[in-house]
Order: sequence, then structure tokens, then C-alpha cells
Amino acid sequence: MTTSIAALTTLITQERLSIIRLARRIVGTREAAEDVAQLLFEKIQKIEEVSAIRNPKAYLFRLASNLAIDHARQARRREEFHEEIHDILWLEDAAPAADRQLGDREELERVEQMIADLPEPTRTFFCLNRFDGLSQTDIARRYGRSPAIVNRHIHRALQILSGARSGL
Amino acid sequence: MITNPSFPAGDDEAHADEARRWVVRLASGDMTKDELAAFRRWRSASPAHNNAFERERALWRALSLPAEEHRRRRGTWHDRGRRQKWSFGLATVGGVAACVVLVSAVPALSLWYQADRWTGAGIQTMALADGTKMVLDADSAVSVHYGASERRVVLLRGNAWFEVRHDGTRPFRVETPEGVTEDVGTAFELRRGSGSQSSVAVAQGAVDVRMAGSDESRAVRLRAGDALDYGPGYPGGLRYRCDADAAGAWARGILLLDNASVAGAVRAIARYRRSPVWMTGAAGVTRRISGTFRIDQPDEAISAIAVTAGLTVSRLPGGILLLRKS
Repeated sequence: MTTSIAALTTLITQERLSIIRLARRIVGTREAAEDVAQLLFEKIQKIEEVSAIRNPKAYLFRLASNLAIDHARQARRREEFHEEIHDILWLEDAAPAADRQLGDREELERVEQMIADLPEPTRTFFCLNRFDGLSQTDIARRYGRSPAIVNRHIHRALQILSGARSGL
Repeated sequence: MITNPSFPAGDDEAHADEARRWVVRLASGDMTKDELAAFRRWRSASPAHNNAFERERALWRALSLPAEEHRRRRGTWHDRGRRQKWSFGLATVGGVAACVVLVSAVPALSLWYQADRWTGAGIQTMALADGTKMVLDADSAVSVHYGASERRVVLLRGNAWFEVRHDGTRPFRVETPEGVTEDVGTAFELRRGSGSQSSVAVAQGAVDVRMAGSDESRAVRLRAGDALDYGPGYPGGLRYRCDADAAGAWARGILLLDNASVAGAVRAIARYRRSPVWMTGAAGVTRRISGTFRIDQPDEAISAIAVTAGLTVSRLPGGILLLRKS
């Protein structure tokens, strides 16, 4: 019996639920499992030497498992990457001189007022990112703009607010 | 003010602005690996770069809002991102509670089972014991707990729409791990995505939302046209206006897509088909999809999208559709 791409395609559609169940055990969520199933489908369209496959079902499940493991690994790496960035921005200690920004009451009130006075949509974009923790792409999606524009607004906000520091 | 005689003032300002650019990228949530590497190279290129960065970063950290606004928002970017354990926090009453506890302990298996049991590819409308109308979207799961003094529904996954029968003796509440929404005489939609995020939109009347982890007595009241995203990624909840008619449009058999990607649009509609839709080459299409689609005719909707995106549709055995670049 020879295997063909068409036969593999039929097999993957028949075994779809089992494949998703297998993938889900590895990647954790249904959505990620469905992404893996989609990837598996695309991969089998491009297989070379397909006729050499002797046990197509075992092959498919093994491939699914490998794709799921890769997917989980990438997700973990992305998570670690975001933690790394977060640590640089928030946890890393700075030299004492640089750390003293906006110390006294007057400066704090001045900056609060400057935030309130920012033009729109700069103010909204800036506040959503800095205080609500939304990513620029989330903000861009919500307001129908490009992430580059959102980035520009937030940069502009920071430029304006840097004027709040006394002695400048 | 500290001036450094080795660096002329013009350079100072240039360094400061470049440092600001990097702070904004670090805070963007979208930074790439290449960007991080470029940042590291820039930062270590000279002490002036490093100092400028630390100054601008300190400013970013120090920024604050007036107290009331802070209380409203409850948390800042640096409080976010830590794995938060969610717990249902339900009152336990006998057998029913055991069922719910099972769900939270083994989410993958039970959700799968419950999702298949409640709704497969179709939307289901059901009347709860008190006459409240509940419509469950495809691939959604709830558990219902009606008792003598309460009416409680737990939304485990997916989307649900409610038209609540008023009952003065028993409040109507819908729970997700992210919080509790209580009806105040309404029609509203609740969504729970896979990323520990809940969303409620009110079409009519009002609801009170109590977010998990927040002050229990404090509720956010939403009226018709209000919507709220809440969960670990949205400390304090993100409130916005929505189209009251669009909220829960799917419960009336209509799917509204607004600037969706082709892959996202097809995936959204494919949920209403019994067989899957496979796609190749859709990732490269930059065309965005907006429009109103009838859920009872998903194949027509998918054909329409395919035409717009320059993809062809083939039928595979088992009712499976294949979308491919033409």
C-alpha cells in the first residue's frame, strides 16, 4: 500500500478530533491545538517521499506531537522574552543619581496636570499603554490605527512630559 | 541640575530623545528580538547612552495619575504580567459544587467534554427554569446553578447572551474566573476568551460587574452601550462604549466583523460549520474583512470572503472546505 498526500489529507480529516486532543495535552489550550492542526495540514501538503511512509497514522500523530512540542516551546520562549523586557523596564536597579526623578510634591502634581493636558488621542493612547498595560497593537486594533502611529503618540507624550522635570 | 562638561548640550538632548524612543519600545508590548538586541548595543555603546536611558526610564517609572484615576484603573503596567492564579470563589453546596470544582481542577478535559455536550457547531437557545433566555454561541460551555435564593450561571468558555427575567428575590449572576456580572434588569452579552479575559457588553438595562481580586464591595455599573474587558491583563477593567445593537448580534444569527484579518474572519465563521475549514496562503493576504454575515449560511460567507481575498474554495470529503491562493 502506498501513501499519497491525498490519503494523508483524508486521514487528517478523519482523525482531526484525536489529533486536537493530543495537541491540546501538550500546548494547553484548544485554540493553540487548532493552530497545530492547521500547521500539520499545511506541512503534509509539502511532504517529499510520501510513498515511503509505511504507517501513515503513526506518522501523522508523531508529526502532530512534534509540532505541538515546538509550538509550546515557542510560546514559552515568548513568555520568557516578555519577562526579560519587563525586568529591564521595571526591576533593574539604576544608579542613584538617575533614579531621582520627580521627587517632590510639586513635580508630581505638575506631571499629573501635564498628563491631563495632553492632546487627544495622544493622552488616551499613552494612558492605556502606561497605566492599563495595553500593548500598542491592542490599542491600535481598538482605535483602528496602525501600531506605528500609536508608537509615535506615546513617544510624543513622553517628550512632552519630560518637560515636567525641574531644572530643565 | 547637573551638567556634564564632556558632552555638549545638543548631544544631551539627542541622547535623551533616543533613550525615550527605547523606553517607549520596551513598554510597547510589541518589541521584537532584533529590537532588543539593537537596544542592548545602543545602550552599551557609551556611558552617555546608558545614563540617558536610566534617566528616561526613571521618568517612565515615576509617572502617575491623580489618586482617583489611579483607584479607578487599579494597577499599572509593572503590576501586570505576573502569573495570577484564578479561583472561582464559589459558595459550595453539595453535588453541584463538586461538579464545578472538578471543572476548575482539570480544565482541559472537562471543558472539552462540556463544550461538546452543550454546543457543537451550532448556536443553542435555551430557556432557563425562571424563563430567562440564554443563547449559547458555538463552542461555548456553561454550568447552571439555580437555587432558592440565587440564580447563577458560570461561563466556562465562549460567548453567551442573556435576556434576564426579573426576580426580586433572587439576583441573576454570571461568573467567569475573572469576576461576576450581576443583572440589574437587562439584556447583555458575556464573552470569555482563551486568554483569561472576560468581556461584557450591555444591550439593554444595566449590570453590575465585580472583578475577581478587587474590593468585593466595589462594582462597576454598566448601562446600555457600555462594555468592559476584565481579567488579569486588565487591572481595574477597561471600559469603553460599544454599539448596543452589535452586542450579541450573533445571538440573532448575525456575525459582525470589523477590520478582521482574512484568517481571523474565516476562523470566526468556521465555528458555525460542522466540518473544519483549512487554509493555505491566507497569511499573506493583507486585505481586511468588515461586514455582516449570516451565521446560518456560513459557506456563503466563506465564499464571499474568499473572493475578496483572492482565494479559491474547494470542497474536500466530509464537508471540509479548503481555501487556497488562486
